[in-house]
Amino acid sequence: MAIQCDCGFSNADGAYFCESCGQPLTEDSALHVAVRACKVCGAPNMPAADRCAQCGAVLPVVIFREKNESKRGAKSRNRAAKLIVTEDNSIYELSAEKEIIIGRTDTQSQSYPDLDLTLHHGDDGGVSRIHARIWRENGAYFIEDQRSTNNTYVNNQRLEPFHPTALRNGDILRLGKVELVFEYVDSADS
Amino acid sequence: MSEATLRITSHPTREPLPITQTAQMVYSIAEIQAPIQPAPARPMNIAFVIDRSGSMKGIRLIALKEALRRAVDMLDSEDFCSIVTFDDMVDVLVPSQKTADGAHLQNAIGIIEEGGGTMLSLGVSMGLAELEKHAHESFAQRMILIIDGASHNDEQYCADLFAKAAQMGVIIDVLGIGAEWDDLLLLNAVSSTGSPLFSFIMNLPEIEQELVKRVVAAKATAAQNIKAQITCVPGVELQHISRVAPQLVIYRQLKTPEDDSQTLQFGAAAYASRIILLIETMVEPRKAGSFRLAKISAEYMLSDGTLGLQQTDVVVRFSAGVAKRPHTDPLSLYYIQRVNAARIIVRALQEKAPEPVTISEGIVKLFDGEGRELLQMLRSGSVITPETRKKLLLKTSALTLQRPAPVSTEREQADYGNSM
Ligand SMILES: [Zn+2]
Ligand SMILES: [Zn+2]
Repeated sequence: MAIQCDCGFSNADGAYFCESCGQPLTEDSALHVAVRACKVCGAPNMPAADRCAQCGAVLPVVIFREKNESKRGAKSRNRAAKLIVTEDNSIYELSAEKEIIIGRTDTQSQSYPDLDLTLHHGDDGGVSRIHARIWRENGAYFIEDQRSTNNTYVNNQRLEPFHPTALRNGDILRLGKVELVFEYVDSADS
Repeated sequence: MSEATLRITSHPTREPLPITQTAQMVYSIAEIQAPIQPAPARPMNIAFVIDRSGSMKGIRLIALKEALRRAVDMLDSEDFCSIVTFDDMVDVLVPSQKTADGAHLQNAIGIIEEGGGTMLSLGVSMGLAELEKHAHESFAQRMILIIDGASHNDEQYCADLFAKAAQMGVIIDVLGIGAEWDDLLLLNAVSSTGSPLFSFIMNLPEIEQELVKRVVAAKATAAQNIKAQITCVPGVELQHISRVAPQLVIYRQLKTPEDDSQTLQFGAAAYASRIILLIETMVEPRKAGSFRLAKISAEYMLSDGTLGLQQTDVVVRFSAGVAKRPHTDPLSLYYIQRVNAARIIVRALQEKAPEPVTISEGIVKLFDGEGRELLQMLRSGSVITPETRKKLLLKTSALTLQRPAPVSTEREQADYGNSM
């Protein structure tokens, strides 16, 4: 199953960019790749890194803004947040509008959560198909356990099923054995 | 001992992988981490190989001598140093010896005079011969090659000498003055010996700065002669290996696609730094489960003279339950994108006859304003001058380093990881 590029070149399955012209071939590779540059040596680092892997310098806190909005506007109206998977530093941006379901994909039971922890060892980590949900209300984010088999924890406190808990910047969430960190995207002042 | 060794690790860029009906590309990252603790260092062994062809006459030679004096001053008395000059003849101005007698070196530099044409192979072979004299007593082997003209009719011999240098573990640092020297030939010298890219000097005062930079880098060497052998298991085809950190090195096309094992020279690693490799493989369909794709073994010499060998397996998991495409970590994707771009650009620059090249917008966006203009010339099939080509090669090799973004909003407004 080759991936045909607009330029006519036929690329192998699994390729991210066209080998002939460099065009992104998948949704994944079309994403703007956000990494953190080290101001000292210029090396790229994982978005969640706090030290440069190449030279050890402390990486500054990066302020991210919403598109076409002033920083102030972004803060008051639409404060973005993200979840970082501790194990591999994958980052998932949380939507301010839409609630998200965290769980594990299961084609048999037609379970397709918004955030699929299968990719982060959710299988052996005891994540339920529908494990928890996160949404935003009155400017704050909330998490609620969906009566998962292995429970949801916030900073090691087990949550009662269906009892919403407000999230604060830097909270450590644990779903089964999978650990995630909740952070505001512009966390400079929180 | 444990802290004074290299560590090598590897991981695929995404996991699990889907089970496919046909072969798929699988990308893996390997990291070689150099020790943090400086081991007691043995002396280094450095050869300055200087082009004294007629074109060096005048201010070029004056600036060069000044820079050389400064560089020689930085060496320790136990370090071995030799100076070789060449045009279409070669002279060993200073045979390899301990640097203790600084005045002797300074005097020798003073008598360098310009001569005739450039015969690069003469200089390189003599430089290697000088380095070989103390290879056993010393640690880091460096040739600093300073050149301003193109060599004629000895390209193949030069290529053989570069391969020999890589075999010996000699890193060839190239400082090119002006735009006339053969960048494509010397690209081979630097990439095959594991050096960072050549310096391209248009302003003479930069010679000293660049030379000092190379000597400083040589002194910070924690491990040298790092050779990694990557061997794929049956059903896995090695497509490309690239070094993406500390700086992008574009290796020449692998010999044949059927080669399942490659040994590459990755040069030296500074203390506490890491060398990162991107390994691109084509993998035949697999069943669900974990598989070893390749074995990586790295051989190296530490600054105290001990040899080391480290091995790791590239293991990847295939799963039938992958409904959506698995998530690739952003740093790996960053490397994959830039290596792909570099390969396309270098290939285009190596074309003999200018021909329009299709280069996607995504690649163009990775470059600054000047780089974008130069890429436009490639796209339109304009004649590429030697200067343009050198600039593009340099900009390409800096792709995995982040430039201080001229448009700061670009990064601030970035889509941050996976949006939902
Ligand atoms: Zn294409
Ligand atoms: Zn750094």
